[in-house]
Amino acid sequence: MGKTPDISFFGKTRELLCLSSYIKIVDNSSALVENCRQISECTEVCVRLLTGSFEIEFWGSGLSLSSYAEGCVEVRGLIEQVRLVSRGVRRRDNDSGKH
Amino acid sequence: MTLGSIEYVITGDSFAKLFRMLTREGLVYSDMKQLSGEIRICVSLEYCLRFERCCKAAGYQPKRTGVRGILRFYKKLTKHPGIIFGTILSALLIGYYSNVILRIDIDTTDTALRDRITDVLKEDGFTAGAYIPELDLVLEERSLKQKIDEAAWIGISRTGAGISVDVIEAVEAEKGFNVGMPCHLVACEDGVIEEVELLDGQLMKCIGSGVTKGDIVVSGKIVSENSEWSADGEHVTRKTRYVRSIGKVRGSFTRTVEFEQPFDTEVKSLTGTEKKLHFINIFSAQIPMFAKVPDGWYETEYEKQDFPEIGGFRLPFGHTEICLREFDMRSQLLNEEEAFALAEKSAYRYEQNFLKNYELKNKNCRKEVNKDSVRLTVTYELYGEICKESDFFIPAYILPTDENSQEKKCAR
Repeated sequence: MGKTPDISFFGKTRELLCLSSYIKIVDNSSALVENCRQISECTEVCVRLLTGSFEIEFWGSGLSLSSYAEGCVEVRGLIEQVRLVSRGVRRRDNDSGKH
Repeated sequence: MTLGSIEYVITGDSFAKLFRMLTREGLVYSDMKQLSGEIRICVSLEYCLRFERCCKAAGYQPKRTGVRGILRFYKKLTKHPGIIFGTILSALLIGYYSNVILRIDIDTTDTALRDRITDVLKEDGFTAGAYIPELDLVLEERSLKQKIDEAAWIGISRTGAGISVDVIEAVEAEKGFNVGMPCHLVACEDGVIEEVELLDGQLMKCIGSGVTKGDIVVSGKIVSENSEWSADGEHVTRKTRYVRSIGKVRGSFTRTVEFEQPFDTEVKSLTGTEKKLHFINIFSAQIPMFAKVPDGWYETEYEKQDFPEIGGFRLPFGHTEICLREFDMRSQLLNEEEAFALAEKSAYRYEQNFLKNYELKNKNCRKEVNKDSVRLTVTYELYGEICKESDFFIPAYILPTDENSQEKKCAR
């Protein structure tokens, strides 16, 4: 595994162009995700969203999804766990059948 | 979600297409939940048609299960057409009354000027009920300024459901320029001087002497002579001084006035019809509760305002009732007595208006009957001021030298 550089050119550009995904969590009742590219799953216990470079998983109970603006979703319900998986790692795991 | 939202249920095995479509189309939705084999979603009313179209394109069959928000209120409204009718009627009334003159406020205390402005406004169509957007306030301002000399400035502004006319009255400049100018006191009546109070000027007529109109009673030109004797003879120095005559000259005089009353005249007679106009007052707006102003001539009998009060505080809404009595101008043929009675009434009005400043000593009336009219000749014996100020012209060459000396030599 190679050393991750401290300053990434693409990372900095994404940050300057506000293309990073912004996540705002209010207690355990709601979470607002900006720059959401796609919804992968939306059940009462798990909501899975794809952003530019991450797959975000919300685990909990009574979860529901709302969208009031383009590229912006709000997860409501009792959030117990938030998991961020880099899309690059996810792809490698999928390729090697570790999913 | 201002107009409410619609709840949908979509059944299917995989909803990946639906999720992609929601993200791609940027639809506004809420409370999306995936249960066993179905998805429940709530879509805003503005987006529901687009959502249904997209769902069908993606191969889903959305079913409407309920409504949320204000849509529920709309559905209830359809069962109560009275509320809809009332709302539409209120909106129409608000739209109408906000564009119609309900009240004209004229900001002046001068009643004569107020009446004059009201007349001009009426002539130009600025009456209660006139449609405001069709009226040009600037043109009306100009019209008022042209027609009314008593106003120095007039401005019209729209105030809610009415117009407000601001007026600056033309105040005549004081004749201060003349105050220091010399003047005579000249008789304005033919009479006899009985009392004189003189502060400045030279009295030309004595008490008890008779004067006719135009006689100088007190002169503003005072000439004084000073005589000195020397070896050469008498030297007389004459000085002329011009002053403003100040004083009061009272006397007795007579004045004869004729009052003529034709037999054929128009009189105001009440028809006995009374009409009541009702208004609803809300703040400064006076909303008429009648569709048409009654035709004919009316005079106001009384105006009753009823505003509720709470703890001495008058609430800004109430009710006004104006009672009008109809009258008619009828041609009437008078007999002699009635004609003389009217002529005497005119004489009384004349006395009240023009002879108030005089003491009425005696009054003689002479009645004459002509073919078409009666004539009342009244001779008043009055006591009061019989002089008025009259400026006079001083040639320019005299003004620089106040004194004119004239020497007169007398032989010893």
